[in-house]
Amino acid sequence: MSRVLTRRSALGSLGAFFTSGFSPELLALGLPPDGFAADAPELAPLRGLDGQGLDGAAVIEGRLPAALRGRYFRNGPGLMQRAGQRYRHWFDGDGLVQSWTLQDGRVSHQARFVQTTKFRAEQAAGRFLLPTFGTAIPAERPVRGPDSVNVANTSVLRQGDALYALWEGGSAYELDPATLATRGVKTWSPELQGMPFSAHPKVEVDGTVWNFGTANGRLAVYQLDAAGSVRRHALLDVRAPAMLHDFAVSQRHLVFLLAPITLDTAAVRAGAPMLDAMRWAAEQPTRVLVVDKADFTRQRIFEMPATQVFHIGNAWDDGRLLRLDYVQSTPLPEFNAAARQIMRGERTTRDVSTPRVLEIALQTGVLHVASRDEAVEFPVVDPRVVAQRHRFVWYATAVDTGARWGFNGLMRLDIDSGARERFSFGNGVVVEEHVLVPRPGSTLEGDGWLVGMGYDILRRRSFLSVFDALRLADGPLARAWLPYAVPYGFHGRFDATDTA
Amino acid sequence: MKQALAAALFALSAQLPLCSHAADVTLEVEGLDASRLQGAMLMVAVYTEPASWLRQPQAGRRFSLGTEAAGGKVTVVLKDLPDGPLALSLFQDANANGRLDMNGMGLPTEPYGFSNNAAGNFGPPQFEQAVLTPVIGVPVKVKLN
Repeated sequence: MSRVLTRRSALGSLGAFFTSGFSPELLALGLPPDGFAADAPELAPLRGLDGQGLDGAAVIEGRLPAALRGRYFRNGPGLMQRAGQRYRHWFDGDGLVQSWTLQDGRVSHQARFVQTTKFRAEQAAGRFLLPTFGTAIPAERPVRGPDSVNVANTSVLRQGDALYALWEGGSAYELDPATLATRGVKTWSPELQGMPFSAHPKVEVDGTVWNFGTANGRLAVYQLDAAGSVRRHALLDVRAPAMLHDFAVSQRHLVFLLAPITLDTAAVRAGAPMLDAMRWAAEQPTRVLVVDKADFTRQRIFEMPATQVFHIGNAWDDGRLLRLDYVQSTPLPEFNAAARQIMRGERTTRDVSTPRVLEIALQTGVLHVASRDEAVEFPVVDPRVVAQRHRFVWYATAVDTGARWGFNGLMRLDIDSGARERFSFGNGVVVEEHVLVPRPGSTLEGDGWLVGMGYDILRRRSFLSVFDALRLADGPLARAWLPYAVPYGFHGRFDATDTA
Repeated sequence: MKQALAAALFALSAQLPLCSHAADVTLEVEGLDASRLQGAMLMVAVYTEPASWLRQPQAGRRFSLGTEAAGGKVTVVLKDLPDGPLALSLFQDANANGRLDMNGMGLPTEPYGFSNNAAGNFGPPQFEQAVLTPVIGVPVKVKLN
C-alpha cells in the first residue's frame, strides 16, 4: 500500500502528466495510466471512455433462457474527462447508451455516446466547452437553456420506432434503437419544445406514459399515449424543488415527493455549478404532492420530515389508502460529497440508502413510513404492475461490502410480508441496476427474469447477468461476459419485442 | 431577466423614434429554423443606448422570410440606422405573431440571437457584450440559436 501511495505522490508532482498522455512506467506497474482509483479498483469503470463507442460479442457462462429474447437498453455517464479536466460529479458524465441483443442463444453488445450538441462540440474541440450540473466549466458556447448543457445520460424509454435517451433537466434525445445513432432532440408537441422531460417516465400496461419535468420552481406533467402523442399536459405551480428525480403513478394519482431543496440563484449567476447552488433545508418538510390523474387541478399536499429520495419503486391506491415504496437517500449534501469522492477515485463512507414503504390515509391525511436497513438502490417492479397493486420490489444491494464502494448483490422484497430474498456475488463484483423481464405468456407478478449488469473487479470485465426473479438466492442462471469494462450506468429498460 | 428579454422583443412592434442621421447595415443571419419559414418574419431591434437595452429599441425592422432562407441563412439590409455604435437583438418570428414565443418554463421556443453573438449566463447578455460599430462594406453576422 505504501509503495502505491509513494508512486501516486510522485505522480502528483508531474504537473504536465494529465495533458501529456500515457506513462510507460505506470503501465508497467499495472495501474491505470493516470493512477485513477488505484486504491479503490471497484471504481475503475468511473474513469470513463474517450468518446468512442464499444462493440463486442459476449461469452456466455451458464444457460441463457431460450425464451429471453429482445434488447436490453441502458444509459449512464460514459465520458468523464477531456484534455486532463475531469468532471467533479458522477451525474455530469456524457450519456453513453448501451444495447444488449439477446437472440438465438447469442448475446451482443454495443454502446454509443448520445450525440448531444454539447458532446459534438466538445468532441470536435477535444476539450470541455460548457458547464455541467456539477462542474463549473466556463461556457464557450451560448447557454440558452437546459438543452445547451443536456448530457442525455440517465435513462431510456422505448416507444414506437424510437429509443429515447433521457436526462432530468431537458429534452429527450431520440435514437435509432437498432444502431443507437442519434436522430436529434425530441419535441413531443410544438408547445412543449425545450421542456424538461425527466428520466423516470412511468409506463402503464396499456402503454400510457406519464412523465414530469421541473424548472424555475414549476412542475410540468405529461400524459402520452402508447404511440407517443401528447394526450394532456399541465404546469403545476407547486414551488417545485431545485431537484426532482422520480415520481410515482397509482391507479388514481400522480405522487411527487418534493424535498426541501432550493436554488441559490445568486450563486448560479456568480458561476457556481447548479449542484453547488442547491441548498438543503433540513428543517423544512418533504412535501408529498398527490395529483388526481383525471383532473390535474385536484391536488393535495401532505408533509413528512425532510427526506431525500431519488427513486420510487411503484405506487397503488384503492381510493382511500395510497401506498408507495421508495429508497431513502442520504441528505443531498452528503450524497453530493460522495458522488464527488468516487469521481476522484476515492471510496465513500456515508452514502447508504435504505428501503421505505409510505402509506397515506387519503381521507385523514395520516402518513406512516415503514423503514428497513438494507443498503439498496435502483428499485424496480414488474412492468405488469406499474400503477397497480404490487407486492415485490427488486433492488441492487450491498451485503457485507466493508470499506468497498458499490453494490455486490440483489434483493427481492415482499412489501406485503416484509420477507426478503438476497444473492451476493461477493466483494469481487459491483452490481448495477437489474430490471424485471416477464416470462412470455405468464401473468404472475415476478414470474420472469431479473436482468442487469455487473463489473468483475479482478477480471476488469463487465457482464450481463440473468436471474430467475423469484429465485434470486439460486444465483445467476447465466452471465454474458464482455471483453471489456463499461462505465457504470444508471437505468435501463428491456424490450422483448426488439431483436436484430 | 427572461421577461425583460421578452418585453424588449415585444417592443419591436411599438412605435419608434425617428432618426435624423442614417446609415445602412448589411446583416447576415444564420441559424434560422428552415422548417418554420412559411409566413415567418425576421424581427430586428436596434439599440444605441445601454439604458434602453432590451427595453426600448431605437429602431426596429421586420423582414418576411421565404424560400431564399431555405438554407437557414438570410441576408437583409437594415436601412437608415442611427450612426455610431449599436447593438442588435433579433429573432425568427416563426408564426408571425409579433412576439418571441416561450415554453411553459419561460424559455424561448423561436430562434433568437444578438450582435457579436453575445450570450448571457442564465439571462440575456449585457449591452456591452453586444455593442459594435458598423463599418461600411462589412456585414454584421449573427447566428441564431
